Amino acid sequence: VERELLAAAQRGDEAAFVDLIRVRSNRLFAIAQRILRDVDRAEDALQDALVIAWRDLRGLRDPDRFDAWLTRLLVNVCISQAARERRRTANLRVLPLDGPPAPDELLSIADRDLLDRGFRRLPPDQRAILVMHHYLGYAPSEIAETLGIPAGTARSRLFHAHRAMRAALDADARGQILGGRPA
Amino acid sequence: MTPDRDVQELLDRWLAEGPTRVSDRAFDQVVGRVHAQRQRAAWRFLRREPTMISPLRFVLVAAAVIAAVAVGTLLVSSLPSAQVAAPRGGTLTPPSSAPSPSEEASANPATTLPLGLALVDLQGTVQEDLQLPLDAWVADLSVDGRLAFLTQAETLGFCGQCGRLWRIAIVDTTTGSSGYLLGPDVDRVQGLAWSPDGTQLAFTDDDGTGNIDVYVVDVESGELGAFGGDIRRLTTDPAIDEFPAWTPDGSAIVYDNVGSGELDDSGFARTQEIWTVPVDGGDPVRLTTNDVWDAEPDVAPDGTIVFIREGRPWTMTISGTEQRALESIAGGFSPRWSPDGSRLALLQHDGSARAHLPAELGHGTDLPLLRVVIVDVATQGVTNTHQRVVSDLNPASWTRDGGGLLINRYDEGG
Repeated sequence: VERELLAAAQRGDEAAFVDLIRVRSNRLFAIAQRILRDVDRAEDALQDALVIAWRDLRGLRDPDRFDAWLTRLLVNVCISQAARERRRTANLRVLPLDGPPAPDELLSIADRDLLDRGFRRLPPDQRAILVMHHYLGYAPSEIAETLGIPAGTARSRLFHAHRAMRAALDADARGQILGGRPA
Repeated sequence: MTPDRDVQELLDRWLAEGPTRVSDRAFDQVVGRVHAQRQRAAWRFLRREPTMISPLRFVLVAAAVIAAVAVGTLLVSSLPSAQVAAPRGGTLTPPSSAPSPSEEASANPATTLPLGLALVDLQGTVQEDLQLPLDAWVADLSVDGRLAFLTQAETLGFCGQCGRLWRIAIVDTTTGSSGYLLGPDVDRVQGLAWSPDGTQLAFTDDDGTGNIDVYVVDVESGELGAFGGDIRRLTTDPAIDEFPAWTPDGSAIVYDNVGSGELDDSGFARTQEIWTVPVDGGDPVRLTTNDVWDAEPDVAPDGTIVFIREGRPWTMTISGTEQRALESIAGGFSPRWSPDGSRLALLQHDGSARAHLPAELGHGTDLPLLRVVIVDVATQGVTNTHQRVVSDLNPASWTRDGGGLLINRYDEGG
């Protein structure tokens, strides 16, 4: 049925495409929210990615790659959007609040705050790699396949992302100890 | 030092938290946008540049060229005479392809945008709406009347293969010819500045990793549509470099570097400082050093640099000495010197309203509005043009005679 829907969507059947993305939208949104750390921007990124997917769907050659292709599109949109966000759009930007987190008793508020600040310091591509590995549970080989990069590159990027995250956390901790001004 | 294992366990737990359901409103918007978006033919993805011209396509190309010439002619007839220098001719190629009108309508989400490049006089009266792609962003006007701006629209045949990538489009107002600069590695341009002689463009570009650096391209020798000219990367610092401005002799670029500090909610960092880098190669030199943010420089004909320090305009010499605040000016962003160096076009935040743009532009949907004001530097008198732009990424650009401004005007009333 999925293949039939996809084939119909590639022939221009909007309803088929909507059926395809309806069952995937929550997962994709969750990925975007974790990369961008913002619900509104995640919804924007999801919309952008799905519209691009619809526009370019006829270019998808291998139906079995649909989910990986969609994830790749979304991750690229998120990286691009996050990169833009890292420089100003202008003064007085209002940052909307994220939705309430599900409580994890093992994470304190201070932990979450520390993680959030550290994560936001990372370049967007490193954020994406960490989300794919730690949220989606992708192995480096799956990350490589999804992003269309060599497996060695994925391993290397994941290593550097972990190292950057650790450095960001350590720097933050030092700043607090020394009376620095964390955001 | 936090052990790797701890970091990974924390990430596992932390990333598992958070929302996992998209709102019905957002999904409905996707459906609406899908309905409005035409699918591309598969062949368009098989090649980067079209090489085959069918008879129909030829007719469309011809129509696009005629349209571009008509727009240019209109511009020439409407621009103040001092702007229209001797025709340069031959440096810009006509568009190599043009989409069909239906493709334009579907590919250009900006057809109802409240944005538009316009020439206004110093009282803010619109002299000319330039009728260019409505998603035009970060425009700059050269000394010889050429417009450079960013667009992702596939209108006017500028960029048949742009897709959603931002490209540099150029309209020569003296000849009506138009083109775009395109390169596989130059697709996330964020800032533009013509060299004083109008032969080169400085721009900032994201290399795909979020690292934004300063580049210069020789427009005269470059082949538009291929970006085959001389592109030089002037900076490599991993922190963001932005807001390039030329020194009067064209030998260096002054810009700001965000540094390693954390961005505040307004997108500035305390480590953000003004730097300069030689165009012909050499190490960047830091001009400001302090624990407040300095950004958005521009250089006057006499070499005086104006920049924004924590929201207020300051000036200094080209070597970074004699730093002084323009005390009487309440605040502002993205200052631009007039050609004679006597005035500044400045953007001041307008808290009375916000700009709302479609998400597909990628700028965000809820952005600040800024008033365009003129500051007389000697008296520090301020004239409000009552024109507004979206974001400090859209500074005003002076016409050559100093009698007008090119602005990316925001007008919800159309």
